Amino acid sequence: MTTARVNAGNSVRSSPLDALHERLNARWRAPCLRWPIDYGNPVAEAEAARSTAGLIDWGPLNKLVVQGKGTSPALNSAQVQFVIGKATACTVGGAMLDVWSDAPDHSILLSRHGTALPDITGQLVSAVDMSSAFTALRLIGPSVGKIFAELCPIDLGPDVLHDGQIVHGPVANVRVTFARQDLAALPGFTILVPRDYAAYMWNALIHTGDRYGLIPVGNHVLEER
Amino acid sequence: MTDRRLPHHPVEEVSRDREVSFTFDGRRYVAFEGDTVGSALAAAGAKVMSRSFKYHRPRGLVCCSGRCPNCMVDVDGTPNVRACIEPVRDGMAVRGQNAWPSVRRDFLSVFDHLDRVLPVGFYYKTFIRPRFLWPVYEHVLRHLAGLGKVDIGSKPDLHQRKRHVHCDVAVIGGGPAGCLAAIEAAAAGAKVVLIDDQSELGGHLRIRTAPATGDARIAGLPGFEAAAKLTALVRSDRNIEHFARATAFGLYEGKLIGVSQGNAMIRVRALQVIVATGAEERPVLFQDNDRPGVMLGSAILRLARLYGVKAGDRAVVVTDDDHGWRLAAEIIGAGINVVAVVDSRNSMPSADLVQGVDTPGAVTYLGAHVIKAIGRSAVSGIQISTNAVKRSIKCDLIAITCRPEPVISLLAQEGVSPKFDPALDQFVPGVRTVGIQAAGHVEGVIDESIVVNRGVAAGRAAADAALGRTTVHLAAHQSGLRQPAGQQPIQFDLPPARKAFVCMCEDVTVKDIKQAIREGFDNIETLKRYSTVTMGPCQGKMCHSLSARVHAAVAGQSVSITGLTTARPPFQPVTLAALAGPHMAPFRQTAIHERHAKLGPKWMDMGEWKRPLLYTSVEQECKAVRDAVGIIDVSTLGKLELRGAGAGAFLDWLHPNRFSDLRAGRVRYRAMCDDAGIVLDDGTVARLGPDRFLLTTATGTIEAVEQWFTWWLAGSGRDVQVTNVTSEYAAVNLTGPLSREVMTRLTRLDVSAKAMPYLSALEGEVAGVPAIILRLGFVGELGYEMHVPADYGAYLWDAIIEAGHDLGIEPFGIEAQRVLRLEKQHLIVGQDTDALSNPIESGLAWLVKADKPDFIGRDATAIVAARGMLNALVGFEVTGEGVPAEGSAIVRDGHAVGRVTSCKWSPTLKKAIGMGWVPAQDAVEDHGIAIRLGVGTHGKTTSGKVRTKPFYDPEGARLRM
Repeated sequence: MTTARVNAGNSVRSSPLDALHERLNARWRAPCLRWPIDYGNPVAEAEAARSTAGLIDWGPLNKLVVQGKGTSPALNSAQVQFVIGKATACTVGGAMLDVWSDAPDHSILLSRHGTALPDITGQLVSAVDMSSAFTALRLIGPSVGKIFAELCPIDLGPDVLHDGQIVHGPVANVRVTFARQDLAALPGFTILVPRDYAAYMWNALIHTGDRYGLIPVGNHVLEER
Repeated sequence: MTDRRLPHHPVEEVSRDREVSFTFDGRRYVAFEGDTVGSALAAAGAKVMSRSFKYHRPRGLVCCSGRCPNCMVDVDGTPNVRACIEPVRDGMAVRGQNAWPSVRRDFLSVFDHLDRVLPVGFYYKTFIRPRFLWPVYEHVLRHLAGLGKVDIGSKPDLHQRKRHVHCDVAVIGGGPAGCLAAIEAAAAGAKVVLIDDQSELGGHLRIRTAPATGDARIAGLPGFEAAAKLTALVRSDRNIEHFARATAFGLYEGKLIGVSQGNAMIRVRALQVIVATGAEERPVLFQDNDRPGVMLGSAILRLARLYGVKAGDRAVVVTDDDHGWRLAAEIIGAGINVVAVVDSRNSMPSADLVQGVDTPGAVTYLGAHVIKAIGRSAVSGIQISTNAVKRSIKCDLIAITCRPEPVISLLAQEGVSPKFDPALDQFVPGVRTVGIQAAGHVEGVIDESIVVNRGVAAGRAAADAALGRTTVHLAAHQSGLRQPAGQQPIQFDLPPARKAFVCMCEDVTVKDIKQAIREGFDNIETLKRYSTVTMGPCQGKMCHSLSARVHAAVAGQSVSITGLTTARPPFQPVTLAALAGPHMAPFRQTAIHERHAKLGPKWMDMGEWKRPLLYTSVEQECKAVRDAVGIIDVSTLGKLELRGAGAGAFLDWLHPNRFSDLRAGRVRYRAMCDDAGIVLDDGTVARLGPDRFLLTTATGTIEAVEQWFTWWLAGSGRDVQVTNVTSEYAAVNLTGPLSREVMTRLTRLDVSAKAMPYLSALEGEVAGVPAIILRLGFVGELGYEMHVPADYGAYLWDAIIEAGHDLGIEPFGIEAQRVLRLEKQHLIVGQDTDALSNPIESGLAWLVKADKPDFIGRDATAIVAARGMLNALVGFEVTGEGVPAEGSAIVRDGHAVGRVTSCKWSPTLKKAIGMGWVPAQDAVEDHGIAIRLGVGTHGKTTSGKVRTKPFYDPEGARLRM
């Protein structure tokens, strides 16, 4: 018979950066949600994001990978709005959704924890829950371009890569999917890192960005804009 | 300070009110902030800064621009630093190289008298016999000759940086042509990068006082003021990013430029490249042309203007061109006494040039050639010949100011072949590669106003091309080069001297080249490889065209037929640390990593993955698995989820066995082959639904397997979607006779032998989290492999450990797993197989379903089946002493007939066991084999016996419990 905990739910989910956030004295959104709201100095963190750069663990997002020839029709059926080649936001059934549509036959849907992902079905399409597979990191601030110039060989200038455009390529020698996602007037990038590389990628970003004033900042920075 | 310092000049880089000190070979020197090591030593009157490669001849400043090898020193433990461009730092310790006991008094200079026994290529002819002494010869020769020494005990500089830059137009060279090209391109709307190896822009204009010509923005200004104006224009332009003190060391395919700047390596990608690397004076051939005190004219001027140092008190200017006269005038203007001008031409230049050199005591010799430099450790005079009359002139400085030659190496790296222009008597850039232009002196342009205007035209043309506009400017630029007529051929004679150096890096003389050609190396490429001319640190900057001219003269052919050798990166030496960049070696951690870390295991790297090798001991961990229950983190296994109506048939296509007939809830072993029937990978396939499969691969092969699947799926029209779920799932393997007991404490699912037999699959909750459970047995015991969303991985591990605590559960690592699977003779693809292993000879013939209509590798596998086995992968037990190393040979009559792929001591069986390849006829139970023990055992062997069945539980009863 079962003696261990059952129906453990979200209190037992952990992200690959949990230990790292603990060492940085992160304050969590809620005890059961491993989502850093700040690292103890929200004012300095906000200032860093405005004047230099901030690195944010975007927290536990639900993720669905939809792929196959039937991707576009299936998304249309579910009333999910998307733009091929771009990361866009839409509302489905009252819930906010980020849709990364990198190809006609491949999209990644992201939603905040507690927000259900839409049911995607159809012919020649599969929808696989990949909520644990990626860590979403965001970099915000005027120096992000310089940081990426040291880590990525692709031309990411604002005149080349427009807001929302998706790129597949190496960052710090790891192949990732990322997009330019500016925050109001601040340049920004969001990287979907395979969770196994999350600790490495965080350290690589911090190490490289240190000379440009990059510091970890909490999700409050996103909420204030 | 000594009186070698000249009065202050506006462009000088030194701060005379700030002193710094350093040591050179233990002796303390005082310099100004802004000095280089070379300028500081020159200011103190030190002429000898290094010793040459082979003959240990004294060498000093020659180029003062980092091109030649003659001032290389060791700075704070870093060898081969060019003193002439290395800024002095307070407390710096500089040491001479390749000398004993010091560069000032080098006992090894005796080699200078042994050139007759050390001719070109001597190491191909001497020091060969007796053969057994070669290691001694090699050791001695390596210590006696060469460049600096690397201190292998020193800590490497880990602060390297790498940067990627993208632009519309990249300009290499910050002289007047390069600056104006950048300015014009930026004005036309292009994003421009300007790369220059100097601290300030302006090139040769910086050190000149003669007025600039050409463009209205600088025409009429003294050279150094024109340089300052160009600098201001560049710096004020937001479309231009200027990399100062940055060397473009390579021009690669796709208009990629490798640039080193301090501790940073910058990769510049441009749509258009303009090479404006200018022209440089070349050395002249005469006896002892390498003596300290023989310097290029521009070097003397750089030393004077930029560092306020007088290179000598009595200078003789040697030239074959008007350029020499202009430079002589500048040298005089810098405060250096010119006592003679030696011009190989027979007629005087124009009156204005002559007037510039008209100083008391200065004598002009026309139709004159240099015979030799006089002096031992430094120049004390020069002997020349005019009209067959020899005369000596007392001097301490010989200024070589011959016609500058285009620096075309970077262009040549990207396919712009040099061509010999008879009108100019020089090598100039030939046909351009699309997107790469030359501008200025590098084109062979001599007239300064044309140089400047070429830069302007190139900038406009490059901007047009980069921005997709009509190429009017490009065509005009490419066709607009017209040289003034009347260039006289360069005077070139081969001196009869014994020590006239062509290549100062490698101590190659004219005599050496003559001998090499006599010996048959009469092609410029073979001459280079045999004599090593142009192969030294300068990479031909000082000697490329010189070597071609010497070759042509000796071989009796034209220079254009001789040609130049191939130019390759790096143009200027780059450290390996700079190329490697910052230490960014990706690593991967499983979701359970922190739990392992708390147990303090011995770690191993499996590709990029960090995995626990060992927690306690192999014996303890194996015993726990065999007697109770063990748990191992197998999250690193590659995983693919296949969905779609065509998934089963697709798996049939990709594998020798079948999966379309696999029932939902069942698992099957998979081994995948390529078209040649070679085993690529193995793992399992679980059918989770009518159109849903979960496939596992070996750790580290998932990327290749996913590519393989994608390749064969593309364009096939199959209804299959493949998703890489490796990162989505954490996975653990709970195994051992008590594993079922642990499972029943964690889940309400029926995991009994009847409900969940061997090779079955279930989906449900374990410890309250959604899981896919597979009944497998890699290590040969009752076992459950659980895949859960990775976010739950750590929690699941904790739950299992807690549930099995009273049953003696222990985590086990890779080492124990390797031993346990070996006891079952379960192969590991890539360890027990290689790029020649087919499934039949690997013991997997049972899974090849030859009756399938088709599958990848079918034909190749059929050929092997028909041919019969030549070799076989078998198990063996060691019956003698020792544990053979993996990779050791299996021998017969002293010859290798097979090899060991895996071998371990089994704590369960109390003997050494292994797997390996043997000839097919030896793959018989109990067949005796001899096995080498491995490296370091001097060929010693031990005995073994072939075992064709698993060592442990051969019937598999424990797996199927």
